[in-house]
Amino acid sequence: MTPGRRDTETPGNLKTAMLSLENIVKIFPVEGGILRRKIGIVPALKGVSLRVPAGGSLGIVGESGSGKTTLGKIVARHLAADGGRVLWEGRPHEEFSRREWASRVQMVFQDPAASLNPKLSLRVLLGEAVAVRAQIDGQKGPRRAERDRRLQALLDEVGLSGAPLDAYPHQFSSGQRQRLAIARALALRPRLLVADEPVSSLDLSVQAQILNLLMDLKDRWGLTYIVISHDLAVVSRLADRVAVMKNGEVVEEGETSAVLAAPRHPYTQTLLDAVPAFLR
Amino acid sequence: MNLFGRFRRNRGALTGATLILLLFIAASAAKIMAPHDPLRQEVTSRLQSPSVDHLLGTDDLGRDVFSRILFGARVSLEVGVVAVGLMVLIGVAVGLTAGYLGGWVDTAIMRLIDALLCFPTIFLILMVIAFVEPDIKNVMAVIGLTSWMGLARLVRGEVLSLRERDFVLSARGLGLSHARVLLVHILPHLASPILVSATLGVGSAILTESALSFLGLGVQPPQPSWGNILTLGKDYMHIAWWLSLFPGLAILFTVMSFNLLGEGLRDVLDPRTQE
Amino acid sequence: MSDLLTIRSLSVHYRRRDGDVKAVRSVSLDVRAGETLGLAGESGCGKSTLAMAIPRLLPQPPAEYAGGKIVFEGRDLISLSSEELRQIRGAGIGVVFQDPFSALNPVLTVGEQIKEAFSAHVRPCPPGTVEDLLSRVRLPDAVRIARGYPHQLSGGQRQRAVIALAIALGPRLLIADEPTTALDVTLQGGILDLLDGLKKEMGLGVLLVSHNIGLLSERADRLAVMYAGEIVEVGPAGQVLAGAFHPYTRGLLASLPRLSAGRGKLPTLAGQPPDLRNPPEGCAFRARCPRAIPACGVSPSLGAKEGGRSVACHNP
Repeated sequence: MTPGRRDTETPGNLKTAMLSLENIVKIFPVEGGILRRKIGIVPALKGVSLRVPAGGSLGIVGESGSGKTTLGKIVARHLAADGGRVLWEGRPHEEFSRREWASRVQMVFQDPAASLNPKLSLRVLLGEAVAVRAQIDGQKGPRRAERDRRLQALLDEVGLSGAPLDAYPHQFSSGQRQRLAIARALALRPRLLVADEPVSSLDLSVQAQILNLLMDLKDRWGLTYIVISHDLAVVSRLADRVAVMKNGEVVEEGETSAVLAAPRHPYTQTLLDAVPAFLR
Repeated sequence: MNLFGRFRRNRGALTGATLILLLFIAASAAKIMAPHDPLRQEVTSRLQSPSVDHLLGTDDLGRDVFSRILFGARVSLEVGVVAVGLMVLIGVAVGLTAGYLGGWVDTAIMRLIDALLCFPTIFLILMVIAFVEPDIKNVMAVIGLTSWMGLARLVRGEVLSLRERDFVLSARGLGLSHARVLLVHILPHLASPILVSATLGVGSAILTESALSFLGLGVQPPQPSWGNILTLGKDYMHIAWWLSLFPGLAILFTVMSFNLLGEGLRDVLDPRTQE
Repeated sequence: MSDLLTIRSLSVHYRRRDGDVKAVRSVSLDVRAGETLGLAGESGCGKSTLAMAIPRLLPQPPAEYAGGKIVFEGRDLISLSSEELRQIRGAGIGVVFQDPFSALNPVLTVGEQIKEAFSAHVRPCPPGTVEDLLSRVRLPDAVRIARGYPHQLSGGQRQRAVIALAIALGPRLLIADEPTTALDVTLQGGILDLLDGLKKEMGLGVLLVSHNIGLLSERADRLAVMYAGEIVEVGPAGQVLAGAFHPYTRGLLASLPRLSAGRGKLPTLAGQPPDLRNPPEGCAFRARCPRAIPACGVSPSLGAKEGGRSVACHNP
């Protein structure tokens, strides 16, 4: 674990984004009848283009059904796009193996109770991620003592110092579980973290802790973020740029402060109005 | 949450498990428990009704029926366990492959399973047996090879839904190998449905073995099996009822025990029946 | 405004093998006719237990009333027979549940379920009543919806049907437990508008339970904050949000991300809520509280402050 790593390998041309999405299209088939024939299609993404510079932080806001989660899953390669290109430093994502992509892009899911396998202990959940990273670096998997030391270092990173490695996810509170999910993603030492509604399943008093942790980690690890949320207040904390999505399209994009101060699209205004007055 | 406590409170499962345990003890201690050699013929005591010396009577060659049933239990359990082992191996492998890979592989496998299920299993078995030597090894293999389809379907369905769960996505997103995702992240969640269908499968494998042996296509005399003792009993039905009744009861109770345990396990392991 | 519902020193425990969970601990609370009382709290604080304890909808066992009284229109609900209670449920108190998918019977049409409510209370249900109710919850095309089964409705329509069922017999109190949590964010406003409208039309008292303080801030006339099975603060919603008395409420409100505050760390509440199988002596928030003083070793009671507000704290 080497926190504080900076992006020294970014090409000299600053205009090359670390991640760019070009005209991404995703269509879901609607199946029906006893033969499960395709009876229609739902366009989830209708040509979305976005760029994320190294070290930047892009927020994606929109209501459910806007396509924001689908977009996140395409970036993390949990879904394949039906059209358009996903580029990493100018290279199409197909040029990267699954492992190479995993060491660049990791995803944090909404509900840690669902994203951590309940049947596995911390040692396995974190250890397998550390082992993948070791293989990517061409090393042998570390021995038990060394591995446990690395796992504890990871737990330190997310504020869970000294958590017993033999424990299972259900023995932790939901906030602690989200910390574990983040630690697991960090084990790969990714450059980009896609956080899909990282706090919306958590209790109010815990949300601030996780948001603070994400802010901390961004600075210490030199991470780049894509933060997906329906909550503008959450996004405004973590993102320097924000893209507003509606019905599979980006309707507005810009610097977070500028978009919040003077939204140009009426839909953005609607989202702003949805934030309770005392939180504005 | 306490599985053992729930198991103990499930009367069916407990009864089934106890009977099966007794059966296993009897089968493995058959050499010690059997009062007579199951193969020794005694022409002087043919077709004797149950007595103190011959608890369940003797057959047409003067062999002790109780001893033959005890040794027959070994055959039944061996067939049941090995055939089901084979069934689980194939069913789980096929189901995992179809469910995890999806797409045309899944479609092809599912159509094959549909086609296989169109044949009545017994004809499938009879067809295969016609080409091979009817002995216990072949019987086990044939039963295993013809009974995996239901389990494969079940496993495939579970995998299809597990595949979309966040923890599986996250495991794949870590760049773990497909084998690890399947074996570590998916398979453990299938333990209860597999256990339940395996238990029920043992019962039906024992039944199939008995049927085959009854038809003379399974375990060959003089080696005793519940099925071939029954065959003999059929010829002496009105003069020696014990030859049909006792092996019949043995089959009935054994299959019932496995079914009780299987149904019980289903209730115990299903989270939906938890209070 | 008169008190419709008066809860005094109510305690509700869950019997468990590893010790009783004291989910509601000596709670006193009033709901007045024509007001929305927002009940806020984090998961596990006992707010849903409290809400479901009022119409006695908690399964007993494991739940158990461990003291106190629930007075609805002058009658203590805890002492009523099950037949008397049945009369009050529906006719006096309507309940809207969190999950509209499980709150309706999937094999009966919406219309049949509403008619069933009338016949259960031996009340006539003249023709047109069902359609009238459905249009009052602003379901368009009431005739078609009355004939439809729950699965044919969208989530938002289903929740409206649940509300129609809850108000069918003209209750005076409506208990809504996280009524929008299971719904899409975009549908939440409409459901809450509807509850507001019904409150005004029917003069209902509404107990609105939610983990979402932001939502309550816009909908509640008064706000009650619950922590570790106790009410720590009650008052007019605007005043509580603008200047909370209790350190827990203050800490919670400060930790919420605000649009205008820009970047930088959010203040957080340290620690975890206590285990309700073994609640601590004295103030339950003491271990996490920045303002704890020796007096906090004794449980503070909910003391009245100016402006209809009250707080349970020795050092607010």
